[in-house]
Amino acid sequence: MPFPNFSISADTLNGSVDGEVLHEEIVAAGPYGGTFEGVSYIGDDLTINFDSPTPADGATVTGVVSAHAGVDALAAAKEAKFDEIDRRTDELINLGFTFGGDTFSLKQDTLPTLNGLWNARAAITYPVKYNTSDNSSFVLLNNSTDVESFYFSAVGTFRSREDSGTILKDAVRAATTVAQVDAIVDPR
Amino acid sequence: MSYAPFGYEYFSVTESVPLVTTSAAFISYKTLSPTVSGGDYKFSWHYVWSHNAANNDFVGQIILDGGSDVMNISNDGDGHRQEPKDAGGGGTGGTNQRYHCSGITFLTLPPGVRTFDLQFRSDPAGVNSTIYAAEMDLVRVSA
Repeated sequence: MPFPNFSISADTLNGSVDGEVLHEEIVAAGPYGGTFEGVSYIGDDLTINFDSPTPADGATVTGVVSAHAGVDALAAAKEAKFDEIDRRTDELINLGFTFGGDTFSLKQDTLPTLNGLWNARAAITYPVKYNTSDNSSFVLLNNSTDVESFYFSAVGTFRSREDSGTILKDAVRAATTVAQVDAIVDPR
Repeated sequence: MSYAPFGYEYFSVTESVPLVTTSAAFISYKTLSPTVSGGDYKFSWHYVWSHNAANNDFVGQIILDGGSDVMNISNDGDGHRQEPKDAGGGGTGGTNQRYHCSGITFLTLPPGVRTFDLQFRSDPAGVNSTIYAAEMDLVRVSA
């Protein structure tokens, strides 16, 4: 019974690396001095099964596996950077928007209210009192034109926050190395 | 006169982390290594497996002390060799199919540390064979 006597660790691999694909890539990278018997993995822990491998076999297989690890490391770095940008964008959006010198909420739970006001602006009874974020004051909206100004102010602030994040995400998307991703700093 | 100490010795091991292999050489999934006092025992096993092909085989075996396959009760062919009829569909082993294998055999064991090693492989190499979970139990049934 031949048992694997060669293994390499590839902890940065993720589950997206299919064993059958990796197997074929390792076969294609041969010929080998030893006998390649297959790949095995539990989660991210990968074992390459070889019988009587040579040092050259190890180098060849390490190269094949490392290519996957590199791709996955870049993808992971980009995902982390996207999350970081999203968190900052959410923080900025949650600061709210200003209208008439007061600050109003842009938090997720208030967006339906804003959209509802916009959708019903031609049918509702005026004036409308709309509370500030801290409820210390309110703005009086006397007609649909006031609602439109109020709404456009909200949307304008929301979009500018999102767009500033999109510029950073474009840079992340264009990055081809982990170092390039790491070098992107959110200045906001 | 000796009595039958059913269950006097009980050993069990379980595993629930999937192991995928494309290897045509057997790899170990889980080992049960009890220290027994010797006598007659009932050994039972269960595992969930898949093989991502419909035209070749998953092969499983449970090797006792590095020697015989205790699953091979008939002593004919392999302990467990099976060709699925469906492949693909995604999932850990590349297929969404899940099959179960279980069985019981009675063994007369000498005293000491015994090793039951659940192993499996793909035939041929290059196809995802997977074991998802397994349990092995050993119970003493008589002196």
